Amino acid sequence: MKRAQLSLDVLLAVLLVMVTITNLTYLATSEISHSENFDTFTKLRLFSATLVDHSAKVYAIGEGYKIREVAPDLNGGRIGIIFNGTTNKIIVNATVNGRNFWIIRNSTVPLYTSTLVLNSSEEFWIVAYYNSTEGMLYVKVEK
Amino acid sequence: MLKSRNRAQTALEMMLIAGIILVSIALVVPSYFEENTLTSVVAYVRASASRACDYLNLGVFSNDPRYSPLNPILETLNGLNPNLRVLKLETSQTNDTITVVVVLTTPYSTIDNETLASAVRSFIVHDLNMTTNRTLSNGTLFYGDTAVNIVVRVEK
Repeated sequence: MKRAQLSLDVLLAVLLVMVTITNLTYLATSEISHSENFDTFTKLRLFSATLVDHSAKVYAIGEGYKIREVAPDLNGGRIGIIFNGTTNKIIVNATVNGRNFWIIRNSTVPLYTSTLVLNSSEEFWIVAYYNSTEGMLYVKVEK
Repeated sequence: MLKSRNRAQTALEMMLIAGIILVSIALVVPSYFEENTLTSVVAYVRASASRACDYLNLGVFSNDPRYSPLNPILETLNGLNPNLRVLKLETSQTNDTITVVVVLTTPYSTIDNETLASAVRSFIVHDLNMTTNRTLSNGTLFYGDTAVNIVVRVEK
């Protein structure tokens, strides 16, 4: 009799604990896909900030100056960089596991329209480019 | 004779104790589940709201359908970091409805509160609908028979 009473109590306690644990596990698993997304978000954000910053530095130093850049590792994803000279915006887009991510940043220096498509961790250059017909200094990207 | 009566008495006592335990289970379990529903709903809403804030703060667009309610807001921000964060959560429960009030805060006065609040609300509702077993009808979430009302406010 004693043993039977104990097991009933324990069963109740186990049930209640299990309900709580299931809830927490469910919350945690739903969090995984979101954190994978946020990993890509933060990497792209950081990369776009680096591009804006370094293009300003290259422009400040002047004609012919180059900085070597490395694209971030996005778990096999591909990255596209667009320097839009007409709107003066830097657009970075990425495709990771069939999902698209993109960020649009305003550039502080004049840009020369140029695009690049890169694999993860691929190298490229940010170049200060002097357009002699216009007599203007621009910044562009090239491989 | 005496022995068998003793045994019968033991059996009666056991039934009484078992009865008490069963009644207490019947009393404890429903209220526990109810409490658990409220707690988990609040946890999900909180997690979802801070995800919405993170998404808007980072400024990176995604074509993931979960984030689509927030993309128009992100476009109007035009590269500005809104510095959004979850200020507080208020919950109240009446018979069949749980109301969760999420208060967000941003230091910028140029951001349109109403559109931002309604976009974040629709993100939370769709996010909960997709990741949990809440059903969606007419824009209101239902958890079993309990309606979950989500209200989002943005304060300066």
